[in-house]
Amino acid sequence: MNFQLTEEQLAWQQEVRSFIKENVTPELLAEVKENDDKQPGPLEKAYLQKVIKKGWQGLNWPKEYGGLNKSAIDRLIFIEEMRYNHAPDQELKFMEYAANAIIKKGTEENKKTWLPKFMNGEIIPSMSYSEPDSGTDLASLRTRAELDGDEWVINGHKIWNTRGHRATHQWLAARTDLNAPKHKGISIFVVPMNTPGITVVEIKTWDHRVNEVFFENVLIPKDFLIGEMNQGWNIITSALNTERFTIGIGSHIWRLYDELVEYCNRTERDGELLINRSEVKQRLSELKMEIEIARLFSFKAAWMQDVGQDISSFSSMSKIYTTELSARVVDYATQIFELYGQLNDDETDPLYKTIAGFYRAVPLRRFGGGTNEVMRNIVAQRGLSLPRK
Amino acid sequence: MDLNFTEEQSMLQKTARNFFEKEFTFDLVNEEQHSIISKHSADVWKKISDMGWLGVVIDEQYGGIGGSLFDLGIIYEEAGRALLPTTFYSTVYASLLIEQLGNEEQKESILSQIVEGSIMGTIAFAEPDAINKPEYFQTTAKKLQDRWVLNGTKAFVSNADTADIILVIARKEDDSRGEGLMTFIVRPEDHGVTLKSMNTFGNDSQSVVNFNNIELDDSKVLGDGIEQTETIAQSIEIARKKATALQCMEMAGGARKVLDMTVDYVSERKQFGVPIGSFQAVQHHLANMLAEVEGSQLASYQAIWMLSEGLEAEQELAIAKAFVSETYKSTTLMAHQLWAGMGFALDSGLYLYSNRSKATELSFGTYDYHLKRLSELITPVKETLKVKSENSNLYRNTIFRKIDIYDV
Repeated sequence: MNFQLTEEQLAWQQEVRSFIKENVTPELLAEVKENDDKQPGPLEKAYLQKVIKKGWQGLNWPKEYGGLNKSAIDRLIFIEEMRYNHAPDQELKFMEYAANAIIKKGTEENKKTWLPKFMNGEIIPSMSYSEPDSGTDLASLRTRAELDGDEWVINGHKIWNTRGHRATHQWLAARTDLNAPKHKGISIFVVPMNTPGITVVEIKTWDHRVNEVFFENVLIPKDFLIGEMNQGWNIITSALNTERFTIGIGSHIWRLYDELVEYCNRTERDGELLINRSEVKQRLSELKMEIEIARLFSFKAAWMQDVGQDISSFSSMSKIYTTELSARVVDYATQIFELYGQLNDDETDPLYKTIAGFYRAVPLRRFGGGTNEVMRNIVAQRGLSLPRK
Repeated sequence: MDLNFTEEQSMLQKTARNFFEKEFTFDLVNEEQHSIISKHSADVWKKISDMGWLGVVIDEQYGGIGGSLFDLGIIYEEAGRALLPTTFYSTVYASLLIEQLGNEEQKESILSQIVEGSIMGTIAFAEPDAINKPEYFQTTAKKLQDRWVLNGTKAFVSNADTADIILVIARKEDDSRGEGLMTFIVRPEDHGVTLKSMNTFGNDSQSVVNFNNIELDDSKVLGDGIEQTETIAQSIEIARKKATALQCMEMAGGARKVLDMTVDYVSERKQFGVPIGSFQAVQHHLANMLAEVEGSQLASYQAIWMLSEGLEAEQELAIAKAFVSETYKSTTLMAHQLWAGMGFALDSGLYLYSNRSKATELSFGTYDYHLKRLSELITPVKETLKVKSENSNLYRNTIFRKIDIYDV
């Protein structure tokens, strides 16, 4: 038993912090915010290249593929630090995701053709999974890919696509066998965005930009199939645990909590320092307790990965706990701010123009990456072996 | 970060589980209706002593094993599953204070007797008007020539009726508040000690103990009698912190057991032709329970591990006790919901955990008490950082780091 980080892990944490201190500048963050619904600007591009040069976009990639082969705890430390400092990591996560899938499930040819490109940042993918009628029931997806000679012909309609407007390629799930059971007729493809027949349409949301992506007779070469034909569902599900574990790392919200405490320590309102209000102390203490539990979940889930245990239930639990707690932290922040809690990108926002964004962003995490209802089914059925209906 | 037990710890856990399951069956629960929690059996006590479990953290020179507090915590977690008679907890608690504060002779005589199972102990701490803060205690000791005269009333003294020694925390008379703490070794048969048993719904033995002009010589003062009050207060505080962390382990074990029992129940119980555990409404309740139980276990492991390593664990302990208190109780209440009438029937034994969860929730500080302690740590972040960074390099301290360190 040991709840401390090792010397090596502390040194790694320090290395990440130094990098962030040097590279995650206010100018970069401003540019990222400005360009969210557009192409990345020069600072963001340069920053991404720096991270990629270090190989930090895929810390757990094996050495044989040129990766750093770091542990899950090291990966957790990295993401905690990045998020705590609001360092952009969405594109990095997609690169990691795609390359991991190819390493785990790709053919030898896939690895030769695609892996270096996914690893060196030449390809920035975006995920095309959900469809208007296939959300939680993803396996019912209907986008078709049909082989015609040496080419795949793709037709279909994807939705809730994140970052498609900035990506070089789509990581696409499409149906390749209409007669097989729904889980067994899906395949994964890499589709260059500049292929004729692809249309990206913005969906304006309460939070950040997402897209609909339409595929109309899109032709791609035969070898743009990833892994074996009709094995797509395995590829999709093999990454779910990591995805949920990653959503469970809530350090951007823990940062908000820290800021909130500092704010209460320096802010006088109605003649009283906020931290001296007993109800404020009570609520902040409760949140601190729960944040500690959430962090322990993340660390345990990372440790379980490192010792080779199945985290399907535990990562789902961590995802539920963090996302629901995050929503409460942000909600309470707005209440502490009282009238200031409604400000949207305003100069007088106590959280430097971020509070409204946070409030809109956190509910999304409760359904993104699998709804928390489905997560609870998984916890009950895999974690507690309860019968499926 | 390493959540593995050592091989010895795994073995200890296994041995404890098997032993407790054998000695404390539900048949026994029903036979001795209502009272397993306090039902002390000399026979089982002897076996526990033979295992060495009364001396896990006691030094080898006093007959103990000289093991770690974490090892003892493993036994507590298993004891919580099995609803061990509370004599074990009160005796260990007394031994922790003796180890902390006792002089060589006292340790030699009392600790070795505790380890070999020949005496039991308890601590008289709370009073009718002061539960957590010794500076408000009204039990006082007055020095008359070479004797101490003890007067006062203690309440909720666990197992005072079966204890051979009661460690009484008192204040020196005439001292101003917060000063002059002392601990006396009192025997229930000492002249002037009267016990009145309290009716608690956990049916564990707790008593009001009255001290009416008890005369004690210097040898009955725990320690050398020359310690600074600050040292004594600290020793009591340390023993209480360890006992609190141990109780968290007991509670985490109890909560886990209730969850296990409930999962078994809903997997077997059929309505509408299917196990009720296949309904999502039921599954979601249980998924929530699992998160709370896992969180309780992790928080308790963390707190007791830190104390075991000699670290402060101020906030970790507060977090653990607050969280596990709420968890254990709510786990039993949700179990009652899922078991419905079956769980209300005494035959199920569920109520024993419900009772114990309430008793443990209320002792060693409630949810509010520990949250208040936690809130006292929410000082300006800059100050917190200063203390923390000198303190240790625990990862969790990063949560308190000063925000603008990384802001450029």
